[in-house]
Amino acid sequence: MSGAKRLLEEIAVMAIVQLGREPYRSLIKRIVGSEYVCVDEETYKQLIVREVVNRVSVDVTFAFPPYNNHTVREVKEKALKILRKCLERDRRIYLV
Amino acid sequence: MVSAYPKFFLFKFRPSSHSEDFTLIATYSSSEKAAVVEETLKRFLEDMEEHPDDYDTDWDPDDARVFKRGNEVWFNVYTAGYLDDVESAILKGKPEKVECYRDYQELTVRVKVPAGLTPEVAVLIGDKDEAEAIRWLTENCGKPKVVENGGDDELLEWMYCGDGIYDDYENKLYLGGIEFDLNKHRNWEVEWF
Repeated sequence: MSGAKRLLEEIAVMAIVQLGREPYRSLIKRIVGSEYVCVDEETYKQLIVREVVNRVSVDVTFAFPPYNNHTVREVKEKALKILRKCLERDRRIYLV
Repeated sequence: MVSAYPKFFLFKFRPSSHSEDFTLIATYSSSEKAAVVEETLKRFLEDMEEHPDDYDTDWDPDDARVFKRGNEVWFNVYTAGYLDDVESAILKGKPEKVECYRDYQELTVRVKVPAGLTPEVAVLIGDKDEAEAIRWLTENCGKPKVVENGGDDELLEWMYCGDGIYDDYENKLYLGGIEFDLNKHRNWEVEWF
């Protein structure tokens, strides 16, 4: 498995773990309970993880040779920031 | 156990240097469900206007169109593939299916043939390009409707909707690997809605 693919998997695991912790856990329960969301909690989490993974996929590629434009730590920090932004966005959109 | 990796990938939108007109059509189980998703997407665009830094897109919310048609929700924008968050919002409404088109077109394609000819026979009397075009249209749009045209002619008519296949500037159809020039085939016409 390439370094980039392994890092994407690590980010997916990191995101799913974060989503199971507070304050995200309670927020997700509220969002999924909204009349505007029709998927269950598990599917909702998968969609968020998918967004995060897609949005860092280019950075992940450039974190490895021959590019080495970012460090793995920087990419993971960016992923966590995107995760937070996705949840904040959904809070604004679905919990009105 | 919670799966650590996303289990579904409807489309893989890869941002590229080349922008295209994307149309997403999501079908829901009822018109009411579609109305809820339409409202959500409109709110999504408003939020994008207010918090642009929270979105990873190359398009302006003012340039996107959202509308409902029965139990379908349509989303259209010109982009290099930055649609992940839109798709995510569509999927949260639990659609029955989602289709994605590039340069979406709804066309009526007609060919004038002697009355009484079936498409199978029409293939035999046209030139090679016409035969290929009739074959492609019948395979992709179904059997043509036969329309009376007065006199000794009839029209074979196909309704097409999907990725862009018609260049109105060149007046050419791109049917799979075939470039069909309507300027050289005056018995053919395309109506574009």
